[in-house]
Amino acid sequence: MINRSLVGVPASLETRGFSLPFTTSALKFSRLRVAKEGGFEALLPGLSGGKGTYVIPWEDLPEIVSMSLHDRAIFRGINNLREVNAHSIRSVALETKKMGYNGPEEAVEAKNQLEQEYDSALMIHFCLVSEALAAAQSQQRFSPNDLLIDENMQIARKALRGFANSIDLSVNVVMDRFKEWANLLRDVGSHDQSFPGYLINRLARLAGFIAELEEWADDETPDVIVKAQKLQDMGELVGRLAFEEMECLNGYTKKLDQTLSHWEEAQIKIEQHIVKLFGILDGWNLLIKEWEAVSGSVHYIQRDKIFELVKYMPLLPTNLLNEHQLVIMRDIVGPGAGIMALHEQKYTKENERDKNN
Amino acid sequence: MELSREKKEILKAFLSSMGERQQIMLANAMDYARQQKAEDIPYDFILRSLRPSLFKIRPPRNGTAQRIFCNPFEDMLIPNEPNIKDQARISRAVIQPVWNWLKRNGNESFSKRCELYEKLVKSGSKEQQNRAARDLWAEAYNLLKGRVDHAHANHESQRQLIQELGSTRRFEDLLEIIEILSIAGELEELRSKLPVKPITKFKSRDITAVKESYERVAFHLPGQESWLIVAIMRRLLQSADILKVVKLLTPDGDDKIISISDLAKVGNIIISELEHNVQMIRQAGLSNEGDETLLGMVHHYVSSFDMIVTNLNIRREGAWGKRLYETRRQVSDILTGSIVEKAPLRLSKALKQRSVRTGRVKKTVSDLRDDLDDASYREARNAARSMRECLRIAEKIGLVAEVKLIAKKMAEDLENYSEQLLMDIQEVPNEYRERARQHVIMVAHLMEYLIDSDQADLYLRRALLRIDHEA
Repeated sequence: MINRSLVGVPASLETRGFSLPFTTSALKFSRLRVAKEGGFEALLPGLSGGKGTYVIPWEDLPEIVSMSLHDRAIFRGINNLREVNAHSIRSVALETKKMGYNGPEEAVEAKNQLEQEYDSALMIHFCLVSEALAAAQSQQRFSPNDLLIDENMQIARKALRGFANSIDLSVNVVMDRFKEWANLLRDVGSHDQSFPGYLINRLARLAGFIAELEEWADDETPDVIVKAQKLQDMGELVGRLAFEEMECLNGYTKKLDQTLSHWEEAQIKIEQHIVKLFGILDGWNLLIKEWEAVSGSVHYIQRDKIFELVKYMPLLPTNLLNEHQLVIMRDIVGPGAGIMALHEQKYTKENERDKNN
Repeated sequence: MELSREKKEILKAFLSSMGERQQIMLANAMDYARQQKAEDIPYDFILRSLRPSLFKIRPPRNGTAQRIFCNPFEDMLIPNEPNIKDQARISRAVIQPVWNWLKRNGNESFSKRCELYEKLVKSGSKEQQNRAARDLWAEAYNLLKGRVDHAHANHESQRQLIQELGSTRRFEDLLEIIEILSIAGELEELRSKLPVKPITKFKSRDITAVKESYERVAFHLPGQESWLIVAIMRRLLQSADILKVVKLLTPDGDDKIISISDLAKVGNIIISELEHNVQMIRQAGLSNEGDETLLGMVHHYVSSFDMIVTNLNIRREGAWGKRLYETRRQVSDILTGSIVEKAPLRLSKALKQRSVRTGRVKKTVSDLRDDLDDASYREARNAARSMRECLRIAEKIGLVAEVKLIAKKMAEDLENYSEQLLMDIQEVPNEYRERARQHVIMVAHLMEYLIDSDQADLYLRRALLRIDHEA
């Protein structure tokens, strides 16, 4: 029996919480999670320069921290969510930015991102149709780009009749299910990465970040190398788990007929994989953005940044790790790691009143 | 040899659990494998994985005699050779000519000290290495001092030395090297206690260590102690931080006392650097490098200014005080011309209005005929953000009245526009509600900078309620 407990390391993605896209400086690297007693909690690492993470009831957050306009809109958006996870929080963030709450540049960026994802869904749909034609060993073969032409799409539909019949479905139902499937995958990208979505791009950027860090650390002092190695090791673990999740998703495309014929069940599982993938990569976007902001700076600024990033590094929950990965994790979070998430302090209004009295 | 991800993980986990001795043995074996270019052993991966642990076990060594010779003045080295020498900055270009001179003209004793040091690096204890390094520095000091004394006494001798080194500037660098070598032993011991360059946070224990070192040098080598301060100053991110040590050494002194003491050179260097920074700020202001760059440089200036005034007890009418407050005047002029005076116009370009006639009356209304202009919005946002920053540092650069006046006017203009907009969105047709929404969000975003988030949020809620209610 493997001992999965590591002091301070979360047991699951839910107990770790989800990264919050706040812009107020006191709330950088903050997270949201569901409290044991129900309701939400905000996790604020390094509040007022302290060590460890403050745990604050979600509804108290606006009273404790004076939030920017953008963050208030995010706060309200999250309160309106039916389901809270990294995926849904990202949707709130994009909509808020698109409205201009964080300025014109981010509004344009968000609009472009949403348009790109819309186009991505369309191309993924065509990828699935193209895969189905190959699976059906049809004489008519089209690439996804070919299917942009209406006439080709009509021919493809006709060519898929045999395939649809073999799984007791009509072509219309098959096409509808492909559209729903493509919509689910818009944040991921196509199975062959010919149309990479947000998550595939994030994974590629993570790999790039790890490689850059390794090269950068070559010229550094021992204490910096040790810290950079922690980031690399954690990043590699994250990449590995994300890659496995992508493979699971691709598995559904490899067994098209089974996926389509058991679509309701498959749809739920695909969604779960995507939510899990979002969760695995959650928080790394901010870390990489912080690094990119100093990538052209002098080395001492970059060194300080590495130390900061290790402090706020998202920890992989133990329930996702195998025995070898647990050993690596133990090494990463060992004594002297200085990771904020390992130490939590609960904040309540009663505590605050007692302190003031 | 390339490993699969899974195998890498298993191997990494195994390496993490190895003891120190086993790690060293494995590292040596992998070093050998790398030299032999063994194809079937993943030596690169193993060595990379072991690297952090190995650094704890066997720290890196200083290699050669030349390398250790440079250690005491390493923090003062600069890569370029400016035409005019900056005090306490030594060009790297001078190292080789000086070392060559030492090798050519140094006696057998010097060569032996170099050989002994290099031998002890490979197989000696830390203590033996330190002793050998001190002997090397002492020998180098004697040789170079002797040569320079001769040059000072004889014009032809000086000319020859300058020719050997390559320039008069390099000769001036050599004079500083000699000063540093005179205190090399104490300086190196102090450097080993301090963080690596650049020191971003000069903590009290570090300040105390410098003070104690200074006092030891003052006792054993009177007259040389200020060079210790100068050398350590070059290790700091902000040179002015060294004044914390000066304050500790002269708690009751003011700038007049310090300026006539041996610490005068420290004060002069720091104020000259501040004057140089002001020139860079002026260039940034003229070349339109952007508000953020300019304000970043001004922040750095303010921090240095504060440190100087606090730690040197500067009197405004003193020689240093006059120079210092002149720099402040220049910086406030630059900020006024580059940002403050231009801000209201930049803001107004985003607050578009037009005149409409209702009967005989002309009135001004918000101009919502076009979608939000991103470029104007960006300019207005940058202006508002910059003004907020200027307000924060206004007191430090003597610009409070002017900045407050202009910021207040901008806030009033924005408030007036926002109230007008609130009225105008009541009559906006349905198809333009999205546009109205974007405009009110823009106004609220600007309010955040010029007024505060609470007021901005309140305004936004009122405005959005009005838009949605009308819809």
